[in-house]
Amino acid sequence: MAVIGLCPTQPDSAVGDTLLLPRPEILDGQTLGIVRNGLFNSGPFFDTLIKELLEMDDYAGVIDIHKPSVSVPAGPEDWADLTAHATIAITGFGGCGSCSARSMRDAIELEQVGIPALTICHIVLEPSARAVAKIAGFPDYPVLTVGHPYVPLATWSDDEAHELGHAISQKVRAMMMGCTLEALLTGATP
Amino acid sequence: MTAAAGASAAASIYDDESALVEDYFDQGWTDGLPIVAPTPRRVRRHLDAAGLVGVEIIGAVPTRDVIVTAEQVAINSVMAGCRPEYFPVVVASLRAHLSSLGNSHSTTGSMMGPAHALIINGPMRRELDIACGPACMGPGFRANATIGRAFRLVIRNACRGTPELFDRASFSWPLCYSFCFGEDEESSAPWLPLHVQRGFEPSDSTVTIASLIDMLHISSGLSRNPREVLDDVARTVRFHGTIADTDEFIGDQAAITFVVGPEHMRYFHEFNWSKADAQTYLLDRLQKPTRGPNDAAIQFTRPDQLVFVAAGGGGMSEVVALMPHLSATLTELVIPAEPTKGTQVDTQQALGVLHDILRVDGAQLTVARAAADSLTLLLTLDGADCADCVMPASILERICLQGLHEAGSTVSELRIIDPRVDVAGAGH
Repeated sequence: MAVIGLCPTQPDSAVGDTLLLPRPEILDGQTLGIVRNGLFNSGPFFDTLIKELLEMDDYAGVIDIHKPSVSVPAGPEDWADLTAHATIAITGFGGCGSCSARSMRDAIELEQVGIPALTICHIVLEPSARAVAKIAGFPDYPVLTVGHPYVPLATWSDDEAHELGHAISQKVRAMMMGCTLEALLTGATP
Repeated sequence: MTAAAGASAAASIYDDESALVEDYFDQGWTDGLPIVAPTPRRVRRHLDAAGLVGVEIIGAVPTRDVIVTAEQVAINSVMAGCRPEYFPVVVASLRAHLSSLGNSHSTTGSMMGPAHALIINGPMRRELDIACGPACMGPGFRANATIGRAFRLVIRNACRGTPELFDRASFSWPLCYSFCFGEDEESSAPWLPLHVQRGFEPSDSTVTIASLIDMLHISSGLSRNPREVLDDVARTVRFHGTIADTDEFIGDQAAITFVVGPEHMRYFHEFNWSKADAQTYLLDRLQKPTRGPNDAAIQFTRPDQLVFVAAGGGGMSEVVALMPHLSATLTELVIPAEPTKGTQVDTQQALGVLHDILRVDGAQLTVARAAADSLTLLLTLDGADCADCVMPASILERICLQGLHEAGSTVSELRIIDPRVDVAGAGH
């Protein structure tokens, strides 16, 4: 006896793939935006990362915002300040199941208002970040992943957090200028 | 607010209900257990029970580009095994969960694998036989099991909450199958029911959603008064700590839920302690400064952030604490509706095109038996020059059912009695 069954899932996204904004060839004069999600001890990591980025290039300024919870959007006033002044941005640290996807969504929403961005997440959570990117039409969105010995959840000692910020600052710089992670891994850095 | 015009669930036709269930397993649309086939007729009955149209938006998960419609909720509610009269409870639970402070993306994507407790209050508990007493958090109660299951199937299917996409739970736990129970308002009187404490009328029926990452069975068998019970509760909660007391987004909407069973309830009644008395005393104990390792001061500021609910059966002198993830504990009104009649479509009219095709071959279909959601047709071949040239019944069934579905018919099961294979009305 024939039977009709209805599909219980979300329809596939109707959004097609979108081109990324061009990345700046130089970072001098850019205003750096940072979207921190406040995950456990990711604070010292960002402190060191920002410090080293500022030493490598002559930025016009930094807009450093802290979200009110790890997996939600930034507060409206912070977001307005960021999108009004930043010309390039970094989001993260995507170290938990939901915050990694949300940090990717933050980066994409910045891209959609004309601010090229990069998201940093733990490699264990990369699938979650990639899922958001694909749904939003940016399947190849720039993601910098970190892995062992740095654990997810950013449950790091202060020393570990500072060490990680130092370890990836050059890669972050390169990716902000358009270098892909694959090229970095093969040594073809700008 | 409605979803895009014309947006409705895709439909597939199966040879029978078993084939449908197997395909839904293969698609990853179940929680690992068999489901009930979500036919259009069954889905429509669920929608009617809540007075909703399918395109009405129940909520959204913006991070995941998800909009959840009433139809999606109804499909998953049918699949879970809910009766139509349970559907308004399912809808209310999702309205709360999908609100901003329900923080759906966080509480269903976290590596901690949070579950959600659905706590039912009001007369609907009795109307729907929602268990509140002995073993109420366990298996065996249809309303409890299927309402909780429907909630989780919506998260899985409509909210993209699968391990392949956004469910990043490292382990998860069985409460993610289903967790729903009622407050035992009758046995715990004069304690105010939770929904009354939260401003609803006693005659209202509500569902309260509480995310949880841990369930602590706090044993206090030597306690003989409310203070001793709550001192044991405070000691255990301070040892455990909570992640929800310093989240700026949730703020003072975060709450820990304490389920008090009859063995401890007698002390609260004996000493005339109301829920408010218990909340005030416990908050004071939880706020005290830390005394060192494994003793966290809980940074709640209001007594009503400690939610007390009466449930369970006699025997164990325990309070069950539901330790929250990052969402508010929200209470939503349940709004049922009088069922409305489904769309009636003239069967002969809907089969009109097929009639014309068969007539060319000298065959015809007549209605042998008709019900609201099923139809039996008789194929006659008296006028056919070549009986074997007429399409097989299995193909005719699929074509007929497709045509009826497109015409808005409520028929979801169809059989054709084919004289080439059927003898004396026997099925094929």
